[in-house]
Amino acid sequence: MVTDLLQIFVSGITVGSAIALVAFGYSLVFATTRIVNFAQGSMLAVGGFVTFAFWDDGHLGLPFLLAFVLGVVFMAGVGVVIEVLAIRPLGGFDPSANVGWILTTFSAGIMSVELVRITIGNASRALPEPVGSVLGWERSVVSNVAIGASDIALVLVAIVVMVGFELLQGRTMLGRALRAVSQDRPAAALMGINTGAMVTFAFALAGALAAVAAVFIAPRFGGVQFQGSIALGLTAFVATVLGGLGSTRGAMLGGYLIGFANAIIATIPWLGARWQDTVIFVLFLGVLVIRPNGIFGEARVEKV
Amino acid sequence: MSETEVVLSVRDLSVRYGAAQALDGISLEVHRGEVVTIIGGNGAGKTTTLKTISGMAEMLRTSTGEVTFQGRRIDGMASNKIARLGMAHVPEGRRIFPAMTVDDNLLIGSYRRRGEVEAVASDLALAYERFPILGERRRQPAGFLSGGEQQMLAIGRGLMARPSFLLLDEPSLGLAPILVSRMFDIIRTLAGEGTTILLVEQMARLALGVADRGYVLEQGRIVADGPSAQLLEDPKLKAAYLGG
Repeated sequence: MVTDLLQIFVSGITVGSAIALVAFGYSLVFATTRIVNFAQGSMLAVGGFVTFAFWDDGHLGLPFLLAFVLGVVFMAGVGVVIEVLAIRPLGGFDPSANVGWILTTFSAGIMSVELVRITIGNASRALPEPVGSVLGWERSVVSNVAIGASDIALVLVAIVVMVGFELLQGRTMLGRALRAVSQDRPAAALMGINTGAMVTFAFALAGALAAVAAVFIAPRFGGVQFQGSIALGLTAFVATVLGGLGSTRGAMLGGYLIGFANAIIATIPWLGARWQDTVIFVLFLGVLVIRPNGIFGEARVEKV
Repeated sequence: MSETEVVLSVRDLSVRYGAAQALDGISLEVHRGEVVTIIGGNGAGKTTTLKTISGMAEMLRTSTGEVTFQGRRIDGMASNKIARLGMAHVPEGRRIFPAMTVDDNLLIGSYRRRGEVEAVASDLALAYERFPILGERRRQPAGFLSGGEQQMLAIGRGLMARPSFLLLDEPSLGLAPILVSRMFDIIRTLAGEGTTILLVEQMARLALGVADRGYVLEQGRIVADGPSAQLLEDPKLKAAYLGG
């Protein structure tokens, strides 16, 4: 029993953190552009493999920490490239009427994954413990449950991102500008805000966070791999909608809800991990029936 | 008038929306310290004029003519760049940020003055002095304010930029009569402080009451212009816009 509870806690909070970070990216991009970047899940896979390529002796052979930092920076760049190539050419469009972005973001995701398959390879790759390799302590087993240094780091990173972004939004001009852009883009421009730059920043941050999540979750997934990353990316999208599209708080909450739900389902003897997706989607639909805009979905306050 | 500095000069401005000619070769000027109004009926092109001047309209590609602001050509320039030059456009419908607090709405108005921390803080205090009702609600989301309060917030937000030129688009729209006169009091106060204002209004008599000069817009053309006192006495305007 203690083992089960501990197992649920450790798995829920770590997988939840990874989902939350990716969901945060979806939500931030949606908030500033009103589009869903369907390449976000692919970015998770690409981020993991690119970091692997920077580190692996068969490729660039850099020290792991440097490889990690470069991977994060590289993925921020990939986020910007996706925005420039897949979104900007659509011009000043209305995302609800012109849904070309569904195809362009999906294509960008597929193309970036295929590019990685061609250049780096198709097989799953092991990454070292990002923190353990520095601290010397990699993992311990407590009451039959493995707790790794990267698990703790992942949770800490998610907390730092959450708290940091809340402070950014509430206390800085950059944060106010991001919120203004998400609420009324033409009016935000009248304040002198470069709205295009805010959108680019959102894509860059989403890309960088995908790389962070990919590297920290890799030890738990037995390395970086395409299938698992893309599935996690899809789960993160569900978490985003569950929390309320466009609400970064909601996205993070949705991530943890799904993380914990997955962990609980996996420990129930007559369900197990194979039922995770099915049960999650049933729960998801149930929540949407009660709250169609998601848990934190803002009932729009507008007055004429 | 000619010896004072020209803040805004519009020459032969035409704007098309598809097949419709929204503005047809209008020219106008605003001098430093003046309050100028553009009056006219619904669909005459008043809002289009302001949106084209501030760059807010996405119709720039179909506009021709010259717009010069403080000696600098700004036609075709992005609205965020124009705003940074010191023009504040308080748009039609207020366009406040509904999910942001009153405080944050005012602060975002000072976006172009990032770094002037102390001056912005004192301007925020000044805004609450000017609009005490906003001060009482500074932590509330702006979307919860009444229409009149939202209009005050939109004007306050515009002033937070310390603009050298203020564009006001129908500040009386949708307000109860008592609030309309309060709004014109505010405009009169701003004018008294020397703010240069271009005011678009359907309430022609009130607008001419606060303005030094006016332009009358009809179907995208300027059909009359002159000092407010003169326009108020114009028999044709009296019949068409001033209620007899």
